[in-house]
Amino acid sequence: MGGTGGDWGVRVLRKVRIASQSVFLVLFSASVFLLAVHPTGYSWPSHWFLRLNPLVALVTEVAARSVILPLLIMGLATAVLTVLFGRFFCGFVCPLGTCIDLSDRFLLNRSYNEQRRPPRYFQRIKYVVLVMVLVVALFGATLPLVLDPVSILTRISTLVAFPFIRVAGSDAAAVLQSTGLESFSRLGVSVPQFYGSWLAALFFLLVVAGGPWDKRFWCQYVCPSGAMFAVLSRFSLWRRHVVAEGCNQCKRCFRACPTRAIEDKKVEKTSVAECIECGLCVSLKDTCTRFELGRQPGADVVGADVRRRHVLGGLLAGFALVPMYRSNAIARRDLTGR
Amino acid sequence: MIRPPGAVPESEFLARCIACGACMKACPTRALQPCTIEDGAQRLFTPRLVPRVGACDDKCHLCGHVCPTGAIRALPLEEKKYVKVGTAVIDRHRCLSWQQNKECLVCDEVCPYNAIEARVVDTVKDRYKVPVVFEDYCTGCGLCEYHCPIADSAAIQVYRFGEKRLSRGEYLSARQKQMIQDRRTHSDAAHLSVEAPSAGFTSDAAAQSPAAPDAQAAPQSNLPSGFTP
Repeated sequence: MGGTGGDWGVRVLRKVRIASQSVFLVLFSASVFLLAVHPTGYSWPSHWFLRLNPLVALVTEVAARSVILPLLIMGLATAVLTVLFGRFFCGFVCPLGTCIDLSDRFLLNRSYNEQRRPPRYFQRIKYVVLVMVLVVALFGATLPLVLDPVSILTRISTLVAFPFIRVAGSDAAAVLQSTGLESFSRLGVSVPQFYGSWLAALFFLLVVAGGPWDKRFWCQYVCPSGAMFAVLSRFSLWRRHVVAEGCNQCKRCFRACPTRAIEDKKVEKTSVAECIECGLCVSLKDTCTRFELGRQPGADVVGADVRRRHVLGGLLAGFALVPMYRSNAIARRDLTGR
Repeated sequence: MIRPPGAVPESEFLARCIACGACMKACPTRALQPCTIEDGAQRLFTPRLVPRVGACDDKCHLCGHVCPTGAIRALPLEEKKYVKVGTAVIDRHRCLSWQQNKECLVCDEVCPYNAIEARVVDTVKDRYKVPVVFEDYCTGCGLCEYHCPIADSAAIQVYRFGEKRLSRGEYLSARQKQMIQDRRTHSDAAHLSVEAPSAGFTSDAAAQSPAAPDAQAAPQSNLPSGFTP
């Protein structure tokens, strides 16, 4: 992979990314589907996707004050890969990221408008969220992990997507039955589904609803796991490089970048914290930009821009959130835990 | 609120559960439902057992096996049979047998753990054959609540009292398990003798432990003789 001077990292990167995203989305859907199928539920490791995220490992282990070995191993593996290769998880693996990409591309692309993009410093909100998640974890709660992307998508698949397919299927079967075809009668079994699926659906709509304002809105501004990857990718070896003699300052890469990882004034400068390695900047022109392993001398790289005010904001939010959710009255009296 | 079988103690549960919903997806009977806002903000989307929607199947222990963070323990099926998530309670004022003296023993018939017996007792109106719950054998699976023919909420409902939640280790000693298992397999005959269900059971228990002197003297005793939970 290293030192690919030729055509490799050019248009191939984007194709590799699309292929990777598709594969992981299919794998994810299959995993969630196979959860409920009898023998595979036990044998197929369908929870491996949820265990990939180092933030999940960190937060649950801090909150539970114990070492959860499978989480630790898989989380560490992803963390190490992120240190080496940057936010590859967001760009290549994350199934929620793929869903947001799809909705940005096909559902909300008409309403997207460059003018409406939030200011760039809003991207640091996610660090506030990250600190908040960690503070709440110190108090023994994993509550804010409802914001974890893989968790969100698993929940949506469980509570909304699969029930929808099921009920729609049984409704269709009922229609077919009314035509008098006996063989469809077995399909028409509609089982009750889930409480609160509307709440989960609302949550998911909020996640993708950022589309009209920005591409990958959730990943850029909110996602705590994205913030974690952003912090980890500070010294990643796999980076965007601009070939100085090939660049004519056309700034098409700046405009193409969905996460604004490229500086307007200085296109050689890349924010590794924001770069999800989608390769859109590379596929524009093959002579000026590439993704390569290794650090070039003089390459301009910006890490996660976490300032004191973000940490303080996160601490404040976390410390405020804990008494807030604990002061919530619960109708059913709770004797064993809070 | 009832948690799935194998759920670790509540404070640890809240420290582990990431509300992903994998257990709810895996649950074949839809018994596991997400907590909504009325269970407290910190429990949002965490799993709870709602027997009226679906009961916990006695041959299934999938939820623990799909949990990514160990909030629900991956128990072997043999162990899961002894995990108590709650206790069924009959609402005598709504129960068809207890209140209206109608022939209904659905809860008794569906109970896979033999925790419900038919007994002839003095009800509010007449002496009648009614279902009685034996708390020590009930696991809180909720099959009775699921199948109860009363409209709206069932006349037999599972409450959380009696639940046992452990972070590690076995839920009961080998002796306790043996006693519960004996009871679950033995008194099936009592269900078949429609005429005098309590008599069949009592003689059965008495045959097992003839040393217990009060076995025949008190046939209405709520526990089989020789059993001290």
